Amino acid sequence: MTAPAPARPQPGEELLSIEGLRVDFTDDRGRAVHALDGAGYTVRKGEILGVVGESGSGKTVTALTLMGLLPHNARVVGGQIGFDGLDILRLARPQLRALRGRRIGMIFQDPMTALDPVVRVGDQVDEAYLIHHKSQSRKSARSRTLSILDLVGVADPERRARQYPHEWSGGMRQRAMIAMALINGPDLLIADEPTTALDATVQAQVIDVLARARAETGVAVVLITHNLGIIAEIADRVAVMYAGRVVEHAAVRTLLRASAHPYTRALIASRPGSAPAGERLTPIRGMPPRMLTIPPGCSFQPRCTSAGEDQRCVTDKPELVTIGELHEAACHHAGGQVPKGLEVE
Amino acid sequence: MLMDPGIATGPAGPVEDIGSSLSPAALARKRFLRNRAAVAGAIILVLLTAAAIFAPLLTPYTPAHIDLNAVLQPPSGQHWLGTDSTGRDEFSRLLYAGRISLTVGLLTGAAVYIIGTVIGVSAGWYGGWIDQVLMRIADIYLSIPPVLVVIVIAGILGPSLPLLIILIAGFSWPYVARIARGSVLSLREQEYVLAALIVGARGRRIIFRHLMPTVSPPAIVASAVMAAQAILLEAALSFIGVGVQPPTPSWGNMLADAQSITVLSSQPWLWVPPGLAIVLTVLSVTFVGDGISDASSTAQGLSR
Repeated sequence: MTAPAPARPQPGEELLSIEGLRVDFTDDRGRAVHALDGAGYTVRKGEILGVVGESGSGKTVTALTLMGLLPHNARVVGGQIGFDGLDILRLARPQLRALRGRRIGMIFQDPMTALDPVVRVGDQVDEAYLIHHKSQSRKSARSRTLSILDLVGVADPERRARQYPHEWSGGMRQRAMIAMALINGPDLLIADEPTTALDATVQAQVIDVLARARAETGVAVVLITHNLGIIAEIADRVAVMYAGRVVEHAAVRTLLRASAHPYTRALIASRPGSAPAGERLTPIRGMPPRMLTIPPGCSFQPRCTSAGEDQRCVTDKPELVTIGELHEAACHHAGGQVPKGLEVE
Repeated sequence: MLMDPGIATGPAGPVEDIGSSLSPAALARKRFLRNRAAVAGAIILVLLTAAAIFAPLLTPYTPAHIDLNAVLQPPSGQHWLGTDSTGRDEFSRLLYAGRISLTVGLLTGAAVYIIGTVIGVSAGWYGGWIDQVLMRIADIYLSIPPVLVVIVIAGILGPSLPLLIILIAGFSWPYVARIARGSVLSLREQEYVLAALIVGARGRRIIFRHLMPTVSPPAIVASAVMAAQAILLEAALSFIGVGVQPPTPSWGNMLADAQSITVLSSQPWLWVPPGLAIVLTVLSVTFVGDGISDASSTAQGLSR
């Protein structure tokens, strides 16, 4: 089943642009924790943008800000989000709600808890449709539900729709979540670590489902993950986040072959596949900064192997600058010291 | 993509569950029906209610019918439970008094459930200052002894049944509100609530569709406990004379009429039946409440 009415978006046109987003959380002692410190990325229509970074780097907070679903103790203190000509941060609540689920869908990590245990799966998928199509009958909602469940690879959807979530496995539930997110034919799907909680074999299936959904409906996807392998497999471009900022933004091939930021390189080097068999993995030493006070220089400097004695890294925050075609990095040493074998072709 | 379904259905439910997708409510009903005490309680309540409603068909006497030729008669074929000191038929009074007690229980239970869940769910869902204000009001109500208030207000306005129900309900809702608020607080953190927000649902829809099915059972149980308490409180207040006023019979004021040593020792038919009726009713309500509680909590456990 393809998306309804609106003509399939032309790939390449800008759909989402997040700029300089700053979000503070108030911790239980009343201090401001700077979760996002000027984060930003763009997504073009129909593309898959991978967002990688370690826990706490702001990947999810960026997505929740876009959805207008930040927790009560969080506050947007700067930046802007443009979505297809709309200024998201200035939308009134009803307008934002009309966007959620209709034009922007979202799925998250744990499909085991994301479905209401006391409502039949089919009814929950129907609901996602009926919320935005109040004049439609339950019957037409159900027929959409069945076709969308079919699209995400649920066999025997008619019977499965009548079951309760506890009768569905984790991988199947994640498909149900994807179905709920896609049923209104959104322009953008945010997938927040959609495979982290799943078995390896099921992970591959869910990634397939996402790829197929993009191919058949033209939905753009923001794929948040720890897993560079998944990014390499289906993303078009990647944004690497560190300490509340995007430190590198590039096409997947460029990023994997010629990453410019030391953090990205460390991330790639720390993958299990990067170390020769039998050797120890290469961890990134140290911890990400606590975000109570933002250091004046580069947040990665204390852990960086490229910074050396360079005082700029301690005192000046590197801006995200274009260093190649569709390739941006925020590092004073960007492009320099490319390790052997990783040079640009 | 075809490999999953078989695995999915396998280990899910208990044996009774195989092949069918019983709703959690249906499972809970099944479990309730297997709980003997709860079923017995439910049957007794139904019988008591029927007896109270159909009282005129069960006895030829009205509860206020005075027959000075037949005072203080022991139980007989004519007066099944004997007569009191003015010759009123005790069985008839017992049945009509049941109307009062059951009305108090039912109305208080319903009022407490509605007020308690509305306030508790609002406090839990909206949080912030709304939560603060509502819960402080609840705390204030919880720290006032209701019996004293009823005595004072009944003294000022004159005792009456509606006043009694309003006051008892007015002091009982905070218990239900606290329980409702507590379960909303834990449910609010569930991802399926976030998921509902993400598909664009409004707060109201989430509350009724996704929160109430889980908030309701414990709130109903708490309301049942409050209903039982209300029946006891009505009896106690009528006993001390600020509740239901004679000649309208209530189990409480029937006991009050029987408080002399002579009656206690030589006319047991005047106080044993209303006393038993109170105990039986309160026990039944409690058993039914426990039954609902057990049945629904197991249902929750299974479906997660």
